[in-house]
Amino acid sequence: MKNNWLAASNFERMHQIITALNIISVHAKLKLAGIDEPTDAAEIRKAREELTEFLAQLNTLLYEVEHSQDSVVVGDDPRLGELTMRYLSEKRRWLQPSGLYSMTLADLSTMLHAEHPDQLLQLIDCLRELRVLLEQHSQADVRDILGEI
Amino acid sequence: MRPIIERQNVALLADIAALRRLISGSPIPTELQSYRDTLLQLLNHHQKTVERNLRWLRLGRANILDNIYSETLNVIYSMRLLSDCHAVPVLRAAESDRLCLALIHWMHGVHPQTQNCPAACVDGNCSILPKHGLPLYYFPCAEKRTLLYLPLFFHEIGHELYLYHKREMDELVRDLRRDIDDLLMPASQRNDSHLEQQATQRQSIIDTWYSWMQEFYCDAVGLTIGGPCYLQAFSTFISPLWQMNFYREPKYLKSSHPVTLLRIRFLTKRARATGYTEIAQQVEGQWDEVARAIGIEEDYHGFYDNVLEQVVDETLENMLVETNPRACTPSEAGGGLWVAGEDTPIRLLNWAWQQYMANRDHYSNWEIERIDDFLNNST
Repeated sequence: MKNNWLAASNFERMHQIITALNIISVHAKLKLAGIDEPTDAAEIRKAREELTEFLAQLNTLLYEVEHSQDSVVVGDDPRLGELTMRYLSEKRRWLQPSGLYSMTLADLSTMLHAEHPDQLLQLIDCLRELRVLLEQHSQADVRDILGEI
Repeated sequence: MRPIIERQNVALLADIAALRRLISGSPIPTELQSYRDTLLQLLNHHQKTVERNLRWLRLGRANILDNIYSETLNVIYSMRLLSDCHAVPVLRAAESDRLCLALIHWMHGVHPQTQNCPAACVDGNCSILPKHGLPLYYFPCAEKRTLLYLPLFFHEIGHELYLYHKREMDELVRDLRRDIDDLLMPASQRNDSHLEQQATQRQSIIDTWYSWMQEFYCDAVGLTIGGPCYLQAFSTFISPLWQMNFYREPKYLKSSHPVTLLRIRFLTKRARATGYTEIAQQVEGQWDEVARAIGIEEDYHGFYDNVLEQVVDETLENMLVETNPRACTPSEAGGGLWVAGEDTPIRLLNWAWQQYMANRDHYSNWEIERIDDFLNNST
């Protein structure tokens, strides 16, 4: 009995989160440029909800890791644990972190509803960095499910 | 970059149309009709994403190209997954799929979570590609033609049920992994480089238990739904003659599936508690006999210790309560005298094992008639 259920469920979840992130990011960029939004308002609202929920889950795990005495992380599932460790390792690379790594995930969650141009610019930067992180993380699932040629 | 992304999206539209034509035009058994409809809806969803990408491209904004590129990649992966996996049971549908499809149809129908969730089956090692709304089961091509191994599907639906209750189930497993960490943690910890090594080993064990626990849970689901026939199908299919089913080197223990002997121990214990005493003793006896003959001493190199048994059992109980798989009734477990169109397939599958164990020489002929009866009354 082989096992690809973990890769498959992570692939589906990452796919959903990345799409939500792209919708919010495009919305912010167009708003900043004063262009009429071609994306449905309900779709944007749903994207915000999905991303908020995901950030809360990641934040909980992050708290656990940062307060663990020996860096052993239990978390909800190992793939999310790996993502948390990847996020932390990226954050610790810099003496003075910027963008995504300079703020808390709870702040980023609040910023998803930003209206002010300065905040929108910051949001766009953070979402770009988060997307890069998620895409790198989900490559292993893509390889596990689809294989290589 | 813009023209490349645009060309790719136009190509995706053509791919979607081509796959839609293939899927719509394939002759399929009636059991696959709703699966095909869901596939076509999924293609429509991907088409809308591609159309949105093209709409975004027409805005002419360079700063959203990275998002369009990312969304294009998402559709490419999804289309590849459809073409590689999910479309295959429709494009290569065969009459011999009907037995598995009929059982899956029944199994999904009796669980509220999967009642409206069409599924399909293709040749492959026993497994599932879980997906909300469109799970795909894999089953070996020879075994899918007999009643004897069909109970293994009851393990696979466990993975799908887990997905429907993922948040709650992950919480239960997280609590268990914390307990395991506490129980397996050395009483004293050295404050040197050895501490890091210990932490790495502990991380490896608690990560491994995430997958192991899902497999133990799916075994428990299999036994709950199928009753004795699940234990017989599982033990026979996995086979007590494979040495790797008894022992693994430490480096191979960090695997998605627990050592089979350990699964047999938990399954037979659960079977005895459910009242399937005779069959539990028979199965465990076979495994113990082989273990003695090849000189196996159970050693899980820190990944398992008997001290975990109680906490694992308690978590399994809670997971079963959370997902509530349909339980095999005493009359279904008793097998015998299955009436087509009236009795459930569970009774038939238990009867099949009784027939097989009683008279293997005549089993094939007996089975042909029962499969015909089952298929004629299943749609």
